[in-house]
Amino acid sequence: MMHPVVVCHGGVQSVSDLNSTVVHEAATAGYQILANNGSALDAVVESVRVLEDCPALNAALGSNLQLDGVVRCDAGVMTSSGHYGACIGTSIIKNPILLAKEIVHHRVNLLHGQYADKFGKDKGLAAVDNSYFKVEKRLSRWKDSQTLAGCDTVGAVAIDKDGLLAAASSTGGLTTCIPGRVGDSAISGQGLAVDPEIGAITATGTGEFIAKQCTSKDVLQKIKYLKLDPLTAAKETFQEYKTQFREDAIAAIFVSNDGVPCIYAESDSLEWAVVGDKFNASGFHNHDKNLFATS
Amino acid sequence: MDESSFLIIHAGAGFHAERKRSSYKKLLKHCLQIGVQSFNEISTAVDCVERVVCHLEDSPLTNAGCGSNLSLDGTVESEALVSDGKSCGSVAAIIGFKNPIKCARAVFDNQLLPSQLGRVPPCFLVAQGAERFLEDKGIEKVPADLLLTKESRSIFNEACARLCKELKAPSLCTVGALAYHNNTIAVANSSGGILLKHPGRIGPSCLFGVGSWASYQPEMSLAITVTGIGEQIMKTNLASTIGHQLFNVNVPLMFLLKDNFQKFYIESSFLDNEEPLVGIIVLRKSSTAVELAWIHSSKSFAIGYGTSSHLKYFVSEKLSKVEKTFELGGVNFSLKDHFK
Repeated sequence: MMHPVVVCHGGVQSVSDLNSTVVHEAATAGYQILANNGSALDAVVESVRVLEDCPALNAALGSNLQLDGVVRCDAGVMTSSGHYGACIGTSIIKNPILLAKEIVHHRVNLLHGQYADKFGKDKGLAAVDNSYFKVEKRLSRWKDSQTLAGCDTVGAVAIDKDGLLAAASSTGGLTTCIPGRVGDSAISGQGLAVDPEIGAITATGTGEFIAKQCTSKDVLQKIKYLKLDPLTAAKETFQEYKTQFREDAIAAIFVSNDGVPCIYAESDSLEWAVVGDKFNASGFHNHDKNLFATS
Repeated sequence: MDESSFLIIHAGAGFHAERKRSSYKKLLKHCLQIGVQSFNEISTAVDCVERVVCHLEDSPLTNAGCGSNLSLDGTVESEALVSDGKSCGSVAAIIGFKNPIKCARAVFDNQLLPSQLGRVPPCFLVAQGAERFLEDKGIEKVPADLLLTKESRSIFNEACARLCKELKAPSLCTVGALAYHNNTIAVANSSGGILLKHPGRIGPSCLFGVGSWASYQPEMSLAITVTGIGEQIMKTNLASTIGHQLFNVNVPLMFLLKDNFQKFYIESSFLDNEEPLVGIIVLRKSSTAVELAWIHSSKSFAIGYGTSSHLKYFVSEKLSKVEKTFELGGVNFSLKDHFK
C-alpha cells in the first residue's frame, strides 16, 4: 500500500502580499481526502478548489482579466488510469476545476466557453456573475494595461493509497491577453501530464512556451527514457525552455509513482506545500534540499 | 534518385466506402500536385502544408472546412493547427471560416510580428475571441451554412434520427499534411470534429503534442499527425508520445513507428476495451535522408505522398478484420547533396 501525498503550488511569481498558508491549507485539504481513502483525483480537485477560492491567486476568484475586461478560466485534471477532463475559457462557473471533474465523468474530454459553462450549470455546479472573479489588484493591472512576464497557475499532484496518480491545474490566464487566448494549463502533455510508470506533474510558467515545449510531458520523457532523476530531468527541460524562449520563470511539481515528491522552480518565488503520511512542509521558496529542491 | 522537397498527406482514417474510393484518390492526387507545384513558388514547408490543407478543406469529401461533420446543434465548429517544429499556431471552436488552416496560420504568423506592449502573443485562440482576431486579420468568412453539404446534412439528420452520437463510420476525423522543404519542416491539420459532437467540445486536432507534433533541429527533424478517435488520441497524447520515440536513425522509420504504435497505443492501458481506431503519418528528416511512413488500425486510410518526380496516392485498406491489428508502409528518399 502506498503512503499518499499531495503537492500543491500557487504559481510562479506569486504576488508578494500572498497569505502564505493557503497553499498549505490546500495540500492539507487534499490530504484529508486521501487519508479517508479518497482517490488521487478527488484529492487534487479539492486542493485546486481551495486555491481557486483564494483571491490572491490567479485562478477563478482573483484571476487576470483578458483584454476585453472579462475573466476566462482554464482548468484540467488527469489521472494515471487514463481519465482526462478539461474546460477552457469559462466565465461563470465558480470553480472551474469542479467543472473539469464533471467533464471527466461524462467523457467529453475538453469543452470551451459558454458550452462548458452551460454544461456545468446543468450538472448543478455553482455559477456566478463574471464580476465575482475580479479583484482590485487584477482590475488595476488590467486598467493600466500592465503585463506580467509570466503567468500564475495553481496546481496539485497526488498519489493515493492504491498508487493511482493525478494532476490538476487551474488558471485565469495571462493578463490583458487577446480574448479567447488559451494557454497550457488545461492541456494534456503541456500544463499537466501523468504516466503510471513514472508519476504526475504539473508545470507553471508562460503558457505559450509551455505549450510549444510540452513541458510536462518533456520532463516525464526524460525521467523515463534518459533514466534521469526527476530533479535533473526538470533542470534539463527548464534549461532548454530558458534557452529557447529566453524566459526564466518556470516551475513544476511532481510526485513519482512510488510516492516521492519533487518541486523544482527556476524562479525563486514559487509558493508550495507538501502534505502526506510522511511529509508536512511548505514554503515560499525552498532551502531544504534534502527533500525538495529549487534552483 | 535524390530529392529535395517532400510531402505526405492524408484525407482521414476510418471507413472509405468502395464507391467513393476513386474520388478520394482523385482528391489526393490533386492535392499532391498542388503541393509539389508549390515547392517551386514557396519558401517554407509551412507555406506548402497550408496550401495543401486548404484544398483538402475545400473538398466536400473531407471532414474539414466544407463538408465537415455537424455538431449536435447542427453547426460546423472547426479546429486546426500548423507548426514548423519550433512554434505553432492553432484555433478551435470557430464558425463560418472557409479555411480553418488559414486561421491557424494567422495565429502562427502573428507571433512573428514585433511584440506589442511586451505581451506574449497567443499560440492558441478559441471561439468568439478567435473569430474577432481573424476578422481583424482579414481571414475569409463565409455564411456558416456554406460549409454544409447535402451529404453532411443528411448524415446529420440520419444520425439524429437514430440518436446515435458516436457513429464511427463514415465520419473521418481530420485531414493532415507534413512537408520538408528548403531546410524547414511543417505539420498542418484541420477538422470539423466528430459527428454530433457535444456543443463546445474541442478535439485533439488543435492541441500541439496531442493530435500533431513537430520538432525541428538542424541535424534531425520530425513531424507527425494523428487522426482517429479523438478521446483515444487525447488520453494517450499520441502525437508526441510516439513522435519522441522515432528519432533513432539507425532504425528505419516504418519499423520504429510500428513498434511504438503497438506499445503506446494498441497496448495502452488507457484504452480500456475500446477498439483502437487511428491513422498516423510521419516525416523524418536526418542529415542524409527523408523518410515517410504511415500506419493505421482503422479499416482504411486515404494517403498520398509526393516529390517533384514521384507521386503516389491510395486508400490503404486493413485486410484483417481482427481488432488491434494495423497496416503500415514507408518510403525512404536520399537528400540531394547540397541540402545535407
